[in-house]
Amino acid sequence: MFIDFFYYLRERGVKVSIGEWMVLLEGMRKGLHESTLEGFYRLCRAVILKDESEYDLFDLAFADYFRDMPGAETLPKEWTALLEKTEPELAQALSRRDQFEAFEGMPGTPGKGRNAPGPGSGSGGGRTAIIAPGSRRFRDFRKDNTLDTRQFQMAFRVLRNLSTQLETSEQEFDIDATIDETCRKNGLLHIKYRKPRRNTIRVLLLIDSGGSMSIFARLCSELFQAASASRHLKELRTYYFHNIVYSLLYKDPTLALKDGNYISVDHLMQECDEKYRVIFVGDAEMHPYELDGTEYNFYDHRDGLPGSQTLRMMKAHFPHMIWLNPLPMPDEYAPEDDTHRAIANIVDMYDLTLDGLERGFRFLLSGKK
Amino acid sequence: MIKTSGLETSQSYIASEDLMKTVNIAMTLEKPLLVKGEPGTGKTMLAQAIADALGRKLLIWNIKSTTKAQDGLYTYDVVQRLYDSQFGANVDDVSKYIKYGKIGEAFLSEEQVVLLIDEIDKADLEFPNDLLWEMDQMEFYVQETKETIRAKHRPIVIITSNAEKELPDAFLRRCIFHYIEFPALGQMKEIIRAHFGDIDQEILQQAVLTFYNIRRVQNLSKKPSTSELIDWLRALLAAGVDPAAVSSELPYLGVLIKKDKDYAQVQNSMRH
Repeated sequence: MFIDFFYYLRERGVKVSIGEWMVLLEGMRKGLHESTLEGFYRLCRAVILKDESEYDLFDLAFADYFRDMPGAETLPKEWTALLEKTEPELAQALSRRDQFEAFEGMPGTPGKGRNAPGPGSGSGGGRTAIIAPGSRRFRDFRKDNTLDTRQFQMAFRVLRNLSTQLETSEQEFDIDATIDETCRKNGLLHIKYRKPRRNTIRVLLLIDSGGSMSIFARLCSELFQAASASRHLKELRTYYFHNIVYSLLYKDPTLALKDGNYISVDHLMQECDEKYRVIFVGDAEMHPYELDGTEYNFYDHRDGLPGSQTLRMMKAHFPHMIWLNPLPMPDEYAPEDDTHRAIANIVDMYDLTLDGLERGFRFLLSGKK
Repeated sequence: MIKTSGLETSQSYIASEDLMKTVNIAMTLEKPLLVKGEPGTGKTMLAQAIADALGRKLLIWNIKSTTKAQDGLYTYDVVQRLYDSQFGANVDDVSKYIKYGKIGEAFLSEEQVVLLIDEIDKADLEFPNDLLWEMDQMEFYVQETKETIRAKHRPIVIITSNAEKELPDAFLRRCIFHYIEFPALGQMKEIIRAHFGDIDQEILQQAVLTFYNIRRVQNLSKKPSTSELIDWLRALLAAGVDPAAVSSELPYLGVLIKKDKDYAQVQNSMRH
C-alpha cells in the first residue's frame, strides 16, 4: 500500500505531515511524478523536505525502501491505483489509519504495517539506481542538535507582560488618532494622547562558566545571544558564576576578580526588586562541599554563607526564579548527582530542552506550573 | 500545467534540471517555492529567469531586518493626509493614502506575475508567520477603507533564504523546498560560458580548477562563490595573465578571498 511509505518515512525520522502527504498526492494526480521513480523521488523531496539537513536522511530512507524494487523505472501499480480514489476518501482513510496507529503505538502491542520493512527487503536483487550507495551528497548538512537559536528566541518571547494602560500616568503622542481627528475637523489641529503599553519584564541571566560547563559553551552562547536579541525585554542583565553562587557574581565569563568585573549578591538584591525574573543556567554538578560548605568561597576567605544558603536567600528575594540545566535530571540515584537534586529542591529546575525551556519560561512569567 | 520545456534555461542563467523540475512542481501545485543555497548560487537570478521564460513581469520584494509583513500588503500614509488637510484639500477619501506593497501589487495586477520575496530570513522571526494567511488565501483586508484585496491571478511566489535565521514550521509546511547545490565542474563551465561566451580554454580550465581547489581548503570562514569566480576570471582576462601562472601564483587572489585569515590560509595550503 502507498500509505505504508508515509509511515515508513515517519519511522525513519523524516518529518512528514498529513498536509504534506495530501500535497504529494495532489502532485501525483497532476502527473508531476512523471510516472518514474526518479520523478517521484524529486516530487517527494520538494514537497516533504524543508531543510537541506534532512536530504541525507531522506535519501537513505528512500534508497532502502526502493532497494529491491523490481523494474525500478516504474512505480508500484497499486500506488497509481490508489491515486484514482477521490480526495475525501483518502483523507478518511488517513484519519482512520491514525486511530489505528494510536493503538498500535501503545506499549506491548506489536506494531503492524508501520514497521514493515520495504518491499522485498532481505533478498538481494537489483538496486535502484537513483541514490547509489556512497553518493550521499547531503551527508554534511545533517544536524542533530536539539536546540537552535530560533527556539531560544521564541522561548524568550514568552516573557512578555504588558503594562496595562491604566497602570501608568505616562502619556504619549498618538499620531494616528491625532491625524484622524484633525482630518475629521477639516484640518483644524486636534492633538490626541494615549497611555503607552510596555513590556515590564526585567531579566537576570546567571550563567555557570568553566569546568564541567565547557562542553555546553556553545549552547550557553546561543542562549545568551537569543536573550540579548530579545529587544522586547525591559532590561536584561547577565552575570556569571562558577558552579554555585557565593557572595559575588561576575560580569564576564572569565570570572576575573578585578575592579568593576563583579557585583556582590547583596548589592544586586538591593538594586533589583522582586519583580525581576532570575534564570540560572548550570549543570549543578559540583562537590557537595561546594554547595553546603564555604571552603570554596575564596573571596570571603572561606567564610560567609555557603552556596545553598545564598541560593535560598536569593529565592526568598526573587520569587520568579528558575534553573535551566543542560544535563537532564537523572532517573536513578547516583551519589555524584546529589547536588543536582539538592539545588532542584531549592529552585525550580528545568531541562535545557525545547520542552523544558517552554515550561520553565511559562512558570517564570506566571508563577504557575 | 506549464511544461518543463517552457522553463528552458534563459540565456544568462544556468539552472540544473533538478531545479527546473522543482520550479515546475511548485507552479503546478500553486505553492510558494522556497530556495536555499550558498550565497552566489544564483537564488535571486532564478526568479528573473522564471519570469523571462514565462514572459511574466517580475516583482521583487527585498526583505531587510526592519521589514514588516504589513509593508508587503499596504501602508497608510497618514502624514501625507495630515499635510493635505492643512492646505484645505478634501481628505475624506482615505483610499488616496493607501499605498500598496509588493504583495498588494502582485494581487492587483491584471495578469499573473512572478513575485520574488528575497532573503526572507533577514526579517524578524515572526515575519513569515505574519504572511501565512495572506499567502494561503491570496487576499488581505485593508482596515482603513474596509476593502478586501483579492488576487486577480495567483502570483508565482519565489522565496529565497540564506539560512541566517531558522524559519517557522507552519510557514515551511506550505512551501515547496529546493536547495541549490554548489554547481559541479561541468555546470560551472557552462555558467561561465553564459557570461563570457567563448573564452580561452586554457585560462578557463586553470581558473576553474584552482577555484575548486581553493574551495577545498579546510576551515575557510567564507568559501568563494560563483559570482566571485566570475569577477576573478574577468580580472585574469583583463590583465592577460599567463594560464600557467594561475594555480602557482594565484594572481588577484583578493577578488576571491575577502578575509585576511582566509587569505593567509589559502596561500599557505596552495603554495608549496
